Amino acid sequence: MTDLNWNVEFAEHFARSARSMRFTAYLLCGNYPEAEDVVQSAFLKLYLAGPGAARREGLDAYLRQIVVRTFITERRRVRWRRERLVGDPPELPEPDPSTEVRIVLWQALGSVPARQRAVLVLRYWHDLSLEDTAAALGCSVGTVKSQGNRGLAALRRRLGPGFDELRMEVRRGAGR
Amino acid sequence: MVRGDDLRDVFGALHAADDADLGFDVSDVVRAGERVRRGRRAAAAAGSGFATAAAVVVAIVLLPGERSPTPVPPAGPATGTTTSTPAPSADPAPPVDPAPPVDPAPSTTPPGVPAPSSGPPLDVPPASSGDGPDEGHPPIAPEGEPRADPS
Repeated sequence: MTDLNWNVEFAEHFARSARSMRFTAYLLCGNYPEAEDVVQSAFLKLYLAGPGAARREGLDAYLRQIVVRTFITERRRVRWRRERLVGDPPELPEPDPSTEVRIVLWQALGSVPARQRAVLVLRYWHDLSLEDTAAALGCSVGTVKSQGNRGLAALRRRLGPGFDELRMEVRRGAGR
Repeated sequence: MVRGDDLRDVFGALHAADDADLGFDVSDVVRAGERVRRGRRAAAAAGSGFATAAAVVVAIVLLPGERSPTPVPPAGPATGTTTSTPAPSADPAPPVDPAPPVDPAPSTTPPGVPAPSSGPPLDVPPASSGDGPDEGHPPIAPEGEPRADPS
C-alpha cells in the first residue's frame, strides 16, 4: 500500500473511530484534556506504524491496544513525575445535578488503579473477552481476572450502596 | 453492589452524554506524523554518514600502509631499457629433488662385489668370497715385476 492510500484509509478510520476512542480514553483518564492527549498520541503511533502493523490484528483492535497502553505508560510517567493532570479547576461551579453525579462516578473510577481501570473499561465498555483483554494489555488471562475483580471491589468500596441511585441518576441525565 | 452489567449501563449512559467536540483533527495527526518521519529520515542519514566517516577515519589510522620511516629518494631518469620476463607457466615444473653426490667414475664392479675404497683398482684383488663370477682367475701382476711362480 502506498503512502497516499494509507493516508486515505487513515483519514477514514479517524473519522469513524476518533470520538469513540476519545471516550475510551476519557473513561480511563477521567478528564478530557488528558484523554485527548492520549488519543492523539495513539493516532500518531498508528499513523507511523503504517498499514502493515495495523493489518495484523485490525485497525480497531490495534488502536484500542495503543490507547490503553499509552494511558498506562503515561500514568507511570505521571506517577514518576509526581504530577497530577486535572481537566478542570475544582473551583468551577457545576450547575447540572447529573454532572455532579458523574463527578462522583469519575472520582470513584479515578480511585481505581490504572491497570484495573483499563480492565474494567475493556471488559465492560468494549465487551472484550478475557483473552482479548489480556492481549490488549499484554498480560495473562489470570491477571485480567484478578485485576477486574479488584477493580470492581474498589468501586464497590467507594460507591457502596448508593451505586444504584447514582446509576439511575446518570441514566436519567443521559436521556435528557 | 457493583456488578459488571451495572458498570456497562453506567458507561453507556456516560457515552450518551458525551457531546464534547474533538480538540484535534486528522490533519493535525498527519502533520505531526510527517514531521516525525522527516526527523527519523534526517537522523538515519546523519547516523549513516557519521558511521561511514568514522569507519574511514578508523581505517586510515589503524591499518598499516606503505609508509616508511625514512624518506624515499625520487627515482632517477628512465634508462629506456625494457626487460621482459617470461610469464609464469600455468603448469609449473615439478620440484627437482636435490641430486645425491655423483661418483665421477662409475663403478664396474659387478653386483655382489664390494667396490674398492681407494687405490688403483688393479692392485687390490677382488675379495674372494667364493661365490663371485671371477673366482679362479689368478691375480694380475703389475707390469715390470716378475710374475710369481706358483710352483
